[in-house]
Amino acid sequence: MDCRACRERIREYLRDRLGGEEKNAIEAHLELCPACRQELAAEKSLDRLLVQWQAPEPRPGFQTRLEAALGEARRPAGPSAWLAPWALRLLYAGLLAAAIVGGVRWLHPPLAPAPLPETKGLEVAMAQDLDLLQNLDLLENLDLLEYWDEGSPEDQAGNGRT
Amino acid sequence: MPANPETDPHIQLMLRVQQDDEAAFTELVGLYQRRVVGVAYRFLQRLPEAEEAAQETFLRVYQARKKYRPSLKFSSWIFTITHRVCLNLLRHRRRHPAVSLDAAADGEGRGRPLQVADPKAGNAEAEMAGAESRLQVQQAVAELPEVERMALILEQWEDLSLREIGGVLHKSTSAVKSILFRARAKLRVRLAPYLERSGEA
Repeated sequence: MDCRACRERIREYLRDRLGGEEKNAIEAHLELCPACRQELAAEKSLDRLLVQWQAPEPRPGFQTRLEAALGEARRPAGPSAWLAPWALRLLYAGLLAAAIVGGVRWLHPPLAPAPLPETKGLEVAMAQDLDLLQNLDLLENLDLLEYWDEGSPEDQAGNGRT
Repeated sequence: MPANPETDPHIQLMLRVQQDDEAAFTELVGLYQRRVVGVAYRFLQRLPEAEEAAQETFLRVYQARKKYRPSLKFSSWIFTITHRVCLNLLRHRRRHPAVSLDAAADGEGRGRPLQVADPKAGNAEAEMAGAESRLQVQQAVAELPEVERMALILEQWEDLSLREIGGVLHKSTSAVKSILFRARAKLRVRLAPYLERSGEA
């Protein structure tokens, strides 16, 4: 093992993460190389200094705040949990629009119901009349029928007689 | 090398969390609470922000439980989340430099971190020297670039392997090795006077 290979593995050697063969090789090199031994000593020294810096304990109340936040997350899922945010916004917008339209209609109800069915009936009748007007033979028959319905002048005279 | 659910008990716990086992989640929080706060604290250097990062980390773990796949060692997975949360908090801090979350409000934010021993107790001079060197370590770590800082924290204080650190930082093992080499080289220069003192001790 040369110095470069030794220094590449020196951290893993210090952490005792090397396998037997590599560990033996690095130890053999360190035995012979004062520069790498110095490097090892410098790394150990830095380790000793760094471990003095301990992280503080969480402050009092941290556990309570954490549990409160986790409690929120553990709450049974509402609609917002299974609807995508955009879908939820769309749903809310739709509900709002429906509420506004409903409110306006409640405040200003229409003056009279729209005569839609009758209008439609009239239009159909007119269309049928137009068809009839184009059929002269039929018109003549209709005149005859009308005449028959109302009663012929002879019948009326007869009735008058009886 | 993928994580082995058989040999990592924390993966087993997380798999129970995945099945909505609330007790397993409570156990996991108990096991990792101090570690997550510690990593976040050393990275962000402010305790209120570190606590916020820890809270957010556990929330994300819970919310992501159904998607969890044991491809990484559990500690690597949770520290990956912690790392992302910390980066988000740093970005927030940069965008809002005047507002440091609740740090300003409670007065415990900036610079509180060190556990400085009472100088009256025992050898006051040695205690002061220890406090000074710890403060220097803290500042030297804070000066490292983000990726070097996180790699150092995970190796030095969390004892993660190069491969595990690579999993957290999305880097190859050799990249992590050189990141750590650079970080430690900087620290050795920056902390040289204290290294000698430490070496003497």
